[in-house]
Amino acid sequence: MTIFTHILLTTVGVQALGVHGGDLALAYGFGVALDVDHALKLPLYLKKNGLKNEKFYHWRTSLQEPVSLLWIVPLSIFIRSVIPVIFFVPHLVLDYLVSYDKRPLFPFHAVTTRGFFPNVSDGLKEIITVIILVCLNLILFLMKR
Amino acid sequence: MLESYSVLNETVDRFWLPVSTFVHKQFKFTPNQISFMGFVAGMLAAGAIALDRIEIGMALMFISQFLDGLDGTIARKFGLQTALGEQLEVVFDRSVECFMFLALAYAGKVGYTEAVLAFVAILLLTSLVRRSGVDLGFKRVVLYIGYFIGFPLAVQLAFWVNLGGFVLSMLVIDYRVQREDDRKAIEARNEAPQVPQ
Repeated sequence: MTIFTHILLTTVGVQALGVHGGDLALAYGFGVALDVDHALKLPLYLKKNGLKNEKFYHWRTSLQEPVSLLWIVPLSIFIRSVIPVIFFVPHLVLDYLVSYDKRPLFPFHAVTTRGFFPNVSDGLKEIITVIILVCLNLILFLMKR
Repeated sequence: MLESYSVLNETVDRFWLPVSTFVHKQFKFTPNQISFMGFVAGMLAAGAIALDRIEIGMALMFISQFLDGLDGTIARKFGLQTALGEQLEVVFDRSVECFMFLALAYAGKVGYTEAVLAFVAILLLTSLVRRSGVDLGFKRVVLYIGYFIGFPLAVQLAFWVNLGGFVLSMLVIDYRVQREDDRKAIEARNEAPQVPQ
């Protein structure tokens, strides 16, 4: 999903759970900022394609795969905060809604998957998700006023 | 041997070479035997730490690490590297670290949760070290550092450094695999017959 959708979902979580202070940084860090890992592959992409568009390029790294729970769960226990896990899992769910190839267990196993509902158009899934999340954000915002 | 992946490898070899040559030729010890002696010294160190004899523990740990440096150097120098030796060294090293962290917790120097998590972080990094080549070496050394800066802080450092190393390892492996995939794709593209416009 696009970063905009991740921001919307994380904001829903932040509003629903009343997250604030240092936890807010953790929430947006694990809910949104993990996407920064795509930058790691930018030099490789440019080398391969230049400025041409390759739709199914594998931008993802293990940081955005379920295997990352191996380090995020110990981290959560260590800092005594469930925020990293709580905001990382929805990030995963959103990413697994789009049909790009994903390697959930890499680098330990090379199994790949296209995620949930691979036959439904990614654009449609994104539009429906955005509408739902905007509505949820509005409802939560109005409830708090 | 696992430490062949360490960036400090060459320096370690240069330092240990005269000693290892002497020990191997004089006493005919094999690398695996030395690894086992290092393991025993490490376990004794953990026992001393558990009994709150930190200085004795540090001395024994130093002996353990000395022997740990020796076995790898002998194996490389005399061509005695084996798969079994490699596995044994990993098992011995991690076992010593596990008991050392638990001993620190038993002695009341650190919490059990922190000790276990620091060890989990070490295990995670170890699981990828052969493929990534990332080994930050911040494991048993916490015992020495902890003596000066306090064990809770040293164990925290061990946790963060090894967990960070694990994340870095994942990214390094990911990057290498992608680079290789891209290289193959570029080659295939260049070899494909050009379609006239």
